[in-house]
Amino acid sequence: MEISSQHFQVSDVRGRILDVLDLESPGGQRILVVIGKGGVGKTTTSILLSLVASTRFKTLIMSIDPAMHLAEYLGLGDAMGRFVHVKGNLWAYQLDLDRSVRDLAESYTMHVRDLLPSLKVLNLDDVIDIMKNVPGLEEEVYLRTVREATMRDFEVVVVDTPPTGVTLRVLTLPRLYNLWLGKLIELRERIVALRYMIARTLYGEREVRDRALDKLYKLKDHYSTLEKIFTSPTHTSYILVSNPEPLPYTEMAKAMDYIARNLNQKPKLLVMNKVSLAPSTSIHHLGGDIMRVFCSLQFPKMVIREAPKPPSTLSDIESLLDYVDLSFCEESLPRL
Amino acid sequence: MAEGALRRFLGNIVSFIRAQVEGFKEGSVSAIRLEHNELEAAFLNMILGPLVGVVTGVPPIISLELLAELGDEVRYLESRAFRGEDVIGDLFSTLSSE
Repeated sequence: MEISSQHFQVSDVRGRILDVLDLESPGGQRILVVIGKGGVGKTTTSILLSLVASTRFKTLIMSIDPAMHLAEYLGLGDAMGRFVHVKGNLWAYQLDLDRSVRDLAESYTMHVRDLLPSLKVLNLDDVIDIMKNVPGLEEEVYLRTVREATMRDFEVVVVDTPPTGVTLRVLTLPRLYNLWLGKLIELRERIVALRYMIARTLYGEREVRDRALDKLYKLKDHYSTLEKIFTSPTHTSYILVSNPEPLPYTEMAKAMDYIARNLNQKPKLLVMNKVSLAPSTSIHHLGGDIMRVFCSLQFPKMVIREAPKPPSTLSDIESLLDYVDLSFCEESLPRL
Repeated sequence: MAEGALRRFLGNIVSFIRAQVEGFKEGSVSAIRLEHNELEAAFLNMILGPLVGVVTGVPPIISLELLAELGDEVRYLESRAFRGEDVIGDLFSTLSSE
């Protein structure tokens, strides 16, 4: 009887989490971006949410965190950089950042190899040697990886991200790139128009094609799609994770402010992980004011109590559902 | 005889008018060509700059994406730099020579 009661509670928690995440709302594929300071339990939370989502939707848990904890939890080993079936409706993808950055740098090198003699004359041949260290290359890999996931037939994609600073920069890069692409397109269109005028005046009717302009349009399309994805509440939701400690909480607050200002988004769910709730625990032991401030935030909240042993496998994480509390702020906190 | 002279005369007039038209066309595009070349040089400067440490603001990743599509322009810049016609090409050679 006790077991069935526990099962009832767990399935109830699953249902409540699904309600909070609101994955049924229109907009096609849903992306959950899990953000937090290094070590707060982003991967654990991401897997937990993926497991819940996969009870109803075809779900991908994707980690672009270079720490590669997802690979360890799921024992992906050599399967990094591939879409791997985990169980039921759940699939996983662990980005191998080093390899992807190297591959991207090599692809750029291949593209400009024909230009090498000219680049040498212009003393630009060093560009090829330093390509893999060019600023923005890692971020481009993150963006491409997320874009690839959005083009697949997953109904829910949960993205486990690198530490907060990198993630927030990546999320706003498409907008920055679009600003520059808009300016470059304007300039290039003027160049092509002048080229057309010259060709038409001297040689009569003529079609002027410009590969650079075509490429600029293509890039604009790519980054506009990403910008729309990241800023659309019907497509992407942000889950912020913290521990009841000052630095992780400060980072959560900053991330909340950043996504509000730059992505015009509110967090879908705030997660406080590793909350110790031993019988003798007082509000002071819980991190004092942090929990009170956390509970005062006007967003859905989820507390994950500290388990007796840290999770190290998929089933450990699944069993964390027993430690999830969605009513902590309304029920447990007032009693402390 | 008179007819042949008339034909030559008319032919010369036609050639003269054609030459005038061509000259007019060349003249009319020279200003456009100048603007085109300067804008092209400015564009290349913006794109290639970030790759050699010249801060133009353009994200380097966009420069890398575009570089492969600018083969003709880069070769043209190279030839202008060789002929000493282009200060921007020279600037690049100077900036990267250390």
